[in-house]
Amino acid sequence: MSAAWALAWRIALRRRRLLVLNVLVPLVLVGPVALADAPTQHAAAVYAVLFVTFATFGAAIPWVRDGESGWLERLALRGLPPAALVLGRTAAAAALDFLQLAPAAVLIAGVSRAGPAQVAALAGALAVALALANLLGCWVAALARSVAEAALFGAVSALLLLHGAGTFRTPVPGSLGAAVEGWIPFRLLHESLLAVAGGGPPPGPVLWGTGVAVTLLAAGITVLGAPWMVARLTRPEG
Amino acid sequence: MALGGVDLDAHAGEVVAVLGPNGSGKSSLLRLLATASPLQAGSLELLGEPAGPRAALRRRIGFAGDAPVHPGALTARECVALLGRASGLAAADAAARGAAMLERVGLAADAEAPVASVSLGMRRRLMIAETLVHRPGLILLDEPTLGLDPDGLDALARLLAAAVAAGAAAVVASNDVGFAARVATRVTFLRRSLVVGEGTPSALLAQVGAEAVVAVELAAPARRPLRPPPGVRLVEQGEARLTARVPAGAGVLPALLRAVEEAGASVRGVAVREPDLSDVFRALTGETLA
Repeated sequence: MSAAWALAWRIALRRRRLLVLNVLVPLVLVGPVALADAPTQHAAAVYAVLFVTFATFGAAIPWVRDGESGWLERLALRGLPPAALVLGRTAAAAALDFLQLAPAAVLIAGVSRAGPAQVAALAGALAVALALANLLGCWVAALARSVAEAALFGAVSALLLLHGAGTFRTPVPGSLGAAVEGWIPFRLLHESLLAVAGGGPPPGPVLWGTGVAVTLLAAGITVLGAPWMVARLTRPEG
Repeated sequence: MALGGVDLDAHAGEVVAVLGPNGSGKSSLLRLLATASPLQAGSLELLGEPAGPRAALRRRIGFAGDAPVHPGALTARECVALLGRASGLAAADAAARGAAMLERVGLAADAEAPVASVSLGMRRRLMIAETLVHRPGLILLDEPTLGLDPDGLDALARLLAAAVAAGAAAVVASNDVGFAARVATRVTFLRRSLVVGEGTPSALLAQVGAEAVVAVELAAPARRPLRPPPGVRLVEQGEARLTARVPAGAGVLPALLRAVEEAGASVRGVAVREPDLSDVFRALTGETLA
């Protein structure tokens, strides 16, 4: 267990009010949609947007805030390697997001009376999507100059990727859009949500393979970019 | 701020105090030594290796900036242990050393309180504990006495002495001349990013002689030129205050106060003290430290 991982968990567990809100707010947002018998496509899109933006914002804003306060610089100057700092914190944040969103995901599955295969697929796809969204949040924070910019960039990038993953449209087989969709790991989440909400089959192995591979690739790129990211985040005015 | 003309050595077993007024480059120098800022020109060697933002080098440095920054939700015990881990200590070692360090800075009783709930002075003590918990070879403290009470100052002086006795080198940037004189083995004066004087505290103080410093607070400013009595040197004369150097034990204080009143000023208060490092800075630059 790395220092960055331990630190992220310890801070999250100490902020109990935030922890409770992070469980309750997704439940409050998901509940009406799940209980309203909304069309499957619409419901799955709402859930996907909620889960992905929850993680992207939840990653980007604390990165910027800790950069501005000087806390991140303190960690970097302690000798924590940038890659360990970024990956440790990102992994911890993704795991925390998973636990905080799990009740909302259980509610969706429970209301839809999803089977074990759909529930297992949703759990896996949610884990992959949250990992990617947290990596995205870190990059967004490195490019932003303030918390407001982080929120703006986070929203735009997450929604663009969700759109690219086919969340907001009906797939057209053979089109360029359909080819791109499969490479964006949020597609895996969307397909899993469609399966849970609509009772269809869970995503196939090709979607799983590309989703996991692209997320691992993003993690690798983040490792390479970590020194630059930490330098940017510790000098927000630069 | 760009630093120029700074040549600084700090060896194992030394505490080098860097003194200078606001904007003189003290914090910039410490950030450079902490590898927080890149070196633009010149050369810098830290702990026997070229300076750079390398994790292995940073783990051998203990840097405390001028503001104690912590996640407010964490306790002091958690902060010191987790930062110890960030510097490469194993979890159990970091916890044990952290607890011992909190004891030494006088924070054991507040170890379980959220950092957000303790005073600035307590957070400063915590930052000192965090800075020293991994036993760094190079200790860098920027304005470490801000907010510290006398007990905290004693604890800091003791810890610094113990660390340098164990072989560390320390660089302390401060405006606190009393603390600098107490802990420093050498002093470097900075002014506008340039070194304007350096030496041991005793050698520097010898430069300004043994004359006492008299500070006269004025209720009303002088209306005529002040003619100081023989043996008295005016160092500074303002509307609210004048400072003079007088021979120790010469009994010229009544004559000085008469001269002040003859100049049309009225005296609010008088303080007499031994010369300190701020007087050395004034003698070197003609400016005040604070």
